[in-house]
Amino acid sequence: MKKRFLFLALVLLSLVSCSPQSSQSTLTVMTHDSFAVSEDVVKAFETQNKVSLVFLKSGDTGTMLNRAVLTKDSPQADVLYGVDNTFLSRAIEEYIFEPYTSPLLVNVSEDFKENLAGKVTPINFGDVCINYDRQFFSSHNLAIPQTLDDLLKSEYGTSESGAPLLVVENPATSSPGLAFLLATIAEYGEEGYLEFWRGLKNNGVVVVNDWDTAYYTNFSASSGKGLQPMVVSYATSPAAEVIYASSPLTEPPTASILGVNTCFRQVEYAGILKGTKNLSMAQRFIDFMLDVQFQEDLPLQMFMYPVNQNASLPSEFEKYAQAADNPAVLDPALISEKRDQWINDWTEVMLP
Amino acid sequence: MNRIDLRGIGFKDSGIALWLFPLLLLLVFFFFPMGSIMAVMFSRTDIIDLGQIWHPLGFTVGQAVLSTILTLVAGLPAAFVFSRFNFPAKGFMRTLTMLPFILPTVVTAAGFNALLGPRGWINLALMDLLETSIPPVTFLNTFTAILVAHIFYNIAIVIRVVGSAWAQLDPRLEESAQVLGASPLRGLREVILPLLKRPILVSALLVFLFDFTSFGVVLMLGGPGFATLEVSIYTQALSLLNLRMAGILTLLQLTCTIGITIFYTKVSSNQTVPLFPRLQGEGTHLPRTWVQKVIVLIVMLFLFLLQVLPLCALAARSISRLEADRGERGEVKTGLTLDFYQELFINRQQSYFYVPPVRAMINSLFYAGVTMVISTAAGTMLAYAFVKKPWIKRWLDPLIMLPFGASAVTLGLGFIVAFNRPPIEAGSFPMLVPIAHSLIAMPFVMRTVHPAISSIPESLRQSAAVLGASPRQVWRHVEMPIIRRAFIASAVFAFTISLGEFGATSFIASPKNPTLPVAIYRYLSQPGAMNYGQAMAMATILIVICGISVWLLEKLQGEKYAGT
Amino acid sequence: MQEHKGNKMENLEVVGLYKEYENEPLLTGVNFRVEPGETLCLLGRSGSGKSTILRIIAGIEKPDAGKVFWNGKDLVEVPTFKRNFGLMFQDYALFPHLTVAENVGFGLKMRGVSKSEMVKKVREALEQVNMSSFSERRVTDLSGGEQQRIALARALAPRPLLLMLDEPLAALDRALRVELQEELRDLLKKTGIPAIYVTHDQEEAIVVSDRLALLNDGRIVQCDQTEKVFQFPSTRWAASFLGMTNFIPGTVIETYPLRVRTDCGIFEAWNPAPGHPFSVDSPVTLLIKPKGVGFAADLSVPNHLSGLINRVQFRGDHYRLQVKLNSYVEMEFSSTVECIAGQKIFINLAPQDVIALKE
Repeated sequence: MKKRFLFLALVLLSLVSCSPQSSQSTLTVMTHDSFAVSEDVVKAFETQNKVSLVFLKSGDTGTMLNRAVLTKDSPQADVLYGVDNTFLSRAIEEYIFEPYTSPLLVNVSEDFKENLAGKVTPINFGDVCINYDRQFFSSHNLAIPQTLDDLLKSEYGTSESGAPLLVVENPATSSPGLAFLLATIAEYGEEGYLEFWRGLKNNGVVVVNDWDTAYYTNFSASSGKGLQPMVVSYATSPAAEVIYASSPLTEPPTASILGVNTCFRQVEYAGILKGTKNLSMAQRFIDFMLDVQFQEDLPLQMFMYPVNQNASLPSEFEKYAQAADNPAVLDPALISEKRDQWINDWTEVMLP
Repeated sequence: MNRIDLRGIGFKDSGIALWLFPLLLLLVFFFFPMGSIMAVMFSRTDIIDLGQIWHPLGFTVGQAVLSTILTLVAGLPAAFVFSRFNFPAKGFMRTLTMLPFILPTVVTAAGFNALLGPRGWINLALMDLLETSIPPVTFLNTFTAILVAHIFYNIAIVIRVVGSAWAQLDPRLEESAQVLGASPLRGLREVILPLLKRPILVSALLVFLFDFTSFGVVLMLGGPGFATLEVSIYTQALSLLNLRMAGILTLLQLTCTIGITIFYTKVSSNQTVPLFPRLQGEGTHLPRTWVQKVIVLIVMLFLFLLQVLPLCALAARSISRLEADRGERGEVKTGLTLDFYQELFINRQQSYFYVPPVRAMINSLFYAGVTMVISTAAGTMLAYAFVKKPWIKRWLDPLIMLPFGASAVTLGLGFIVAFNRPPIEAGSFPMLVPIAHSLIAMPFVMRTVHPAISSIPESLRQSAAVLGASPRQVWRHVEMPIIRRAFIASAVFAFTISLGEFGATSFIASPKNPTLPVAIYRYLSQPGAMNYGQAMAMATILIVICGISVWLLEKLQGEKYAGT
Repeated sequence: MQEHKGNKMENLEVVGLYKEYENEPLLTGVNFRVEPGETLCLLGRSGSGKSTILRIIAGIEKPDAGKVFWNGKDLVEVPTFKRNFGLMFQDYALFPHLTVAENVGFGLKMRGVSKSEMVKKVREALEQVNMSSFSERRVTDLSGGEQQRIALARALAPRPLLLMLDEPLAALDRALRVELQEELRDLLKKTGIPAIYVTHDQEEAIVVSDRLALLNDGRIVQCDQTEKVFQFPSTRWAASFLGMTNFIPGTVIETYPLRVRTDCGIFEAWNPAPGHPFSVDSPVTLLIKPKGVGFAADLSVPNHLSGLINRVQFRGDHYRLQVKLNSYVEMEFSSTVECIAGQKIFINLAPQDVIALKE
């Protein structure tokens, strides 16, 4: 009996020691669940710097940020990747970041560098846009809506069979949902956006909680074959539809509406967490994320665009992915200040 | 099988060693993280709007009451049929009714979507029949969906708890009532229901507890129009980052669930264990009259539609391609394919985080195995402690139920706050997942093993001792054989709970080692038909593994009373 | 069905009951009648299907074939709860969640009897079984004998048309059983309710019943007034089941008067079924009643035996003698006079004491 106990204790101990505390130094990167990267890219950094990388996936962006904030006194990671411009000011207010300005930022457009105060580094961006079912619009001889105002027209309200044409996500539970809400605020201003939403509601719009429901259950051009031919998703989703098609496709079944202020540009940042014991390695990793190899890897891994202008896009992106020319922009400080109130006001209007 | 030497750990003495380990588990891995996060939450200065409490509270209570009533209404006839009749495929149906109870909400939501979604099989068939392109059935994002999913999940509790008590009820009592002039319905009302009052109350409270803390079902199937306390905690904490508000809601939810668990343990502990359990099959017979045949048929049909069909729909979805023909919209063509299963084994994007399905399966099975060891050890020790010292049961029993009733979101954040440095570090400490699962499985183990242990008369131990058996030999040769079935059954149950658990795992599983439910969720969060198909394929694999485990559970437990 | 009015025409008739249990025939054609006011005792070994007959009459089980008639009306379509019969189970099946009074009043409540009427009738029923002071007790607190009385009161309270008792005393100890047998018989006589009483105990059957039906191999082998069954058992099985031991095989040599040759000489025997005469030279088994012990041959009766007493057992009010009639035949007789082993005695038997049984 005693032997068995010893054995159990040994197993437990060995499992404890399994946790990555080996002789080689490690760099821990806290990310959200959607983070993805190719194996050889990770290997490349590890061999160049004689370090092993540990990725700490910490739920969605909100959960990850909470985690970083809640553990800021004894940080669990050296680098945080994935905080976006809807959460950025909150992160900066909590003083979780060590300032760092990467030399590679010279390759990044000025648009991405505003209001950062050297705290975080932009890595990639993506546009939250309305995707539409191309086949639906062509077979119904319906013009593609070009502006948010167009969405209030009756022809984009409900189909002849009574089903609403647009599905959006709840901004309280979904980050594309929140991004789209911000796009409407950018377009109509704080005074006018609720009026737009009221109009949208009267015209018929479906609200669901999360992106997967909206895309896979409600959207008509996804494999879910839902009822709504328009969905709030990403401008890169059409490219993903081709890459992840269940039978080879020559052109995507979907496309994005890229009018003025119809898209909200989500920028994702990386930052060094205060209290890191690997400051120089963390800086090197930030540089690495901005460098061409990582930047060219991320489109097909995360369906986002690189911020580094020197990075070339994969052919599928060149062909199918779209980016908005005039995305909606809001000041992160304003977002941080008003975010909760906007969500609550929106909830009262849309989900009474 | 792990065997615990009870003498070695002080069974003969005060019994403290028996309840110390489970209590430590609870203190370290539940109260410590919960306390830490609550302290953080209430130290913050976020703005509090008390007006935001009443709506979710009212909705939580309302939907829980309604769901519980409906689950009872649906479950009692099923309990009756299972406890009084023999019929073909009875064992198979029993197995299948248990399956939903352990499935993660991701899978359940996918199953209902595959069956009743806008392009679910039912709508596809109806659209074909009615020659329309508009799905006639709207199910997702309705209040009905929440209620149906709650019945889907919890009907097994009513069937198990009430059904086993009903099977123990002397059929002559019903016959007596009829001879004395009571119609079958009158006899049900005047004799059977009063006698089953306690098991019905026990199952109702347990169902209510699960419905009260419902999260995934409300979020995924109910949609944005509905928010329980748990959903509000989620949005407040993770989306609005209002931790103080989340703390207040957590405290409110915890207060309610403590009340429920205290009441529950009070009611369930007074439940008498029959001294001479009825023999297997006594009182059960083939349906005789046509009324009985119709009742059995209707109940089984209902259970099949509710419990089996959504899972079959999901499995069917994983092997079929749904392609709208590009030329004619609305026409959906289907074809069979195994692509989604094959694709599971290919790392097409050379992703660093790619996890082969076998790996996720191994992770799930490993965690489930460790959970089984920890929770059966802790649960059995507790059961012994409770038999030996009833006063410990009085205060520890409601406490071990608490992990069910506490907010999973808050507890998840608690793990992050409490365990953020070696040796125990959320995300990298591999034992955290099975320990969290064990906290959930432990009360079930205790409740399954406890009746078996307390049914062993003291005279049995004494006569074995007189015959020269040492306490250890008594345990090995007398007690263990008696409690073996309950013990093994509780172990399999712990195993399956771990397999299906998603909420806590998503917070603490390390990214390189996801479990099956976490892997399913990953596939669901990317666009593309292939991703969706792979999620369905993996969900089907999970259903099959869980099904096999439940089948084993049934086999080991026979017709005997189940835990909970 | 109509209320019990003591109508002398009311009777139960059971015709051709057939029932299989787990593919084994249990009842293979059971026929009997219960006449107004009488107590019929169904006597048979355990497992012979006695309880099943009661359950079929009550409507709890359906026969595979056969019918149950009440006053000539087929009961097949009448559900249990509309038959207005009483059935008392072996283990009483009292409702554990109800008090004594509530148990007794259950049947009345089901019939929609008014509250005041119910109180009165419950009191009467409890008085009948001498349990008046128990009315507010919980049934789970009662002893076996008390539970038995309550079960009886519960069955009687709604004045059933027919009362069925399934081994009502089997769970009790012997002294209590003897006491309650008498009480039960008196109560059944007093109420005048016809009853079917199932038991495996012949002493109980003698005390309680007016008529006796012996059940063997799934059918009634003999059904007659109790004394008659004991006096003239119709088959060897019936005789042995009733505790009789003296059998001797023989051959008919004359039919009227019936004379039979055996190894112990020629007997003038009694044919209990005169309608079915024996034929000459047919084999027959004789049942010798254990009586007629004397110390000399009594020539007023036709049959005489003599033998040596092998063993003597004192049985309280009589002696049981084991008598060796010849080198291989031994029989048992009873005597009120004290005898000693080794003594030679005579047995003098009237024709009615030597019963010819069909094999």
